[in-house]
Amino acid sequence: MISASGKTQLALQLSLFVQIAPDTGGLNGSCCYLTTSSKLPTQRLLQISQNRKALPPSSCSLDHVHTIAVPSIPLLLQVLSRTLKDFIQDSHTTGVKPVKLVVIDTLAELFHDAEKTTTATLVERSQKVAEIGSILHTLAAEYRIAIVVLNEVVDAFNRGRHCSDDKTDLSYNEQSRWFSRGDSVPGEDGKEASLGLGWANQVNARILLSRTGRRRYLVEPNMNRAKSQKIEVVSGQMSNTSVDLQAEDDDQSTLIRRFNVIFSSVSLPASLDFTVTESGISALQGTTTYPSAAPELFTLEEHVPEVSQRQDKGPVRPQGTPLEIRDHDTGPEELAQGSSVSDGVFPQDTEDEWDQYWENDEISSEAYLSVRDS
Amino acid sequence: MTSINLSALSTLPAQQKAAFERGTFLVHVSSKLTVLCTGGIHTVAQLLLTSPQDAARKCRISPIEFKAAIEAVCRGCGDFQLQYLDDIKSEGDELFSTGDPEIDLALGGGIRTGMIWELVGER
Repeated sequence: MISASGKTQLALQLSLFVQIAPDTGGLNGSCCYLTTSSKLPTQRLLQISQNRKALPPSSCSLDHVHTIAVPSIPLLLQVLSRTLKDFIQDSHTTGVKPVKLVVIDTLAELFHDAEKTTTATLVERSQKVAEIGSILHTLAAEYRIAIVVLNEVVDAFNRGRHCSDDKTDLSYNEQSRWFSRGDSVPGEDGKEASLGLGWANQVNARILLSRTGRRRYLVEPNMNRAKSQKIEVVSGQMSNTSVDLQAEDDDQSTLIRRFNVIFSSVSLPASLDFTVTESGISALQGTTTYPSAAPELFTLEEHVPEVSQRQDKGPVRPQGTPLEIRDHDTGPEELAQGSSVSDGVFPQDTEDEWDQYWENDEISSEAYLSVRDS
Repeated sequence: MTSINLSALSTLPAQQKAAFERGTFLVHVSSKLTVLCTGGIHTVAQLLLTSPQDAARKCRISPIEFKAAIEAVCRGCGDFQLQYLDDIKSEGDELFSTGDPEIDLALGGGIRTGMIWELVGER
């Protein structure tokens, strides 16, 4: 509701759920919330804890969410390696609730500088990112805590494939397609995670949160206008989000957002729809989809020689047309969701009409591709 | 085992000490203990993970002498029981809920400790 994609919302929710008793799903731990440019949204934290039944006031309170501002990289390094380390050590020996979660909101914010991007600045960024990553890994392993780092997205540019001169080397674009972008819903691959592949190699799990154009009417008793507007005032966030909140409020429907596990060392890639309400983040039941990544990888390998032979004819996507990919990846589920959301605005045979349309289409798929790539 | 202090090795119980081939150990480690310590090598792990060249420079002993010290320690430590992976208690297995069962499922049970999780999204 407040942030555009819901990442802060999820982080806040985690900082509350880590506190509850182990038999109810928590770790009876506390949270350290490091902010780079914003302040900890205490009111929102309070609101989630009050509106969520699973968060009893007896075991979950703001007392166990510690916060410190880290507005620069040197400060972050100092806090991580000294202040936080000592604090965690103390909490594990004396404290009632040991620190089990550290949140950094938002890491990318520290790397926004006016300097022009050159090879030198990129190298420097990689070094800093690696340094931060190594400290975080040490903290995570040594004290058995979960580290949640928030990151931003940048626009992804789909240049022609295989544009690199060095055929043996995978281009950045080719790699980031797998590790920095989501492709669970159409349009999701227009953005990719910032900070590059150096950072992608530091994280164990990457979760992409994005807005979709879809909305849903939620049946929720405490979803009244006065309360929603209260959040808006309290948050004092950017004007565009408040406008959006207003719009959301007016037609009483809630924006559906997408939660996409791009990679994880402990689970398969998966994606699902979720909404952000007063009680925090909740998934829409039964929307989880698992992309079939394996066959796609297989076809890529299979077609590699062919691609290099046909390079002079322009970029070729080994998987076929983009439409086929859409069908293959998200087609049935996506259509099913679409119809459920719009309450039967699209009749069942729309799908067949579209198929017919594309069958009668005279233009070859290569023509579409050339337009897309240019 | 690897965090054992080198100085502690010389005060091990008699039984284990016998396995150290006392003579070799005393010659190569005990007498070199102070030398190794001045070079910043205090534990078995440090001893094993330092390259002979580095150690030779730091501790001012010859690489051959250093290798002999490593061998002596390895022989001494070889008496310890081997551990099977199954016997080691799995660490980092703690996990907590995100508050939503469906999201937990997609994450492999919830947020696991010992890991760096990244949440990416628009501002």
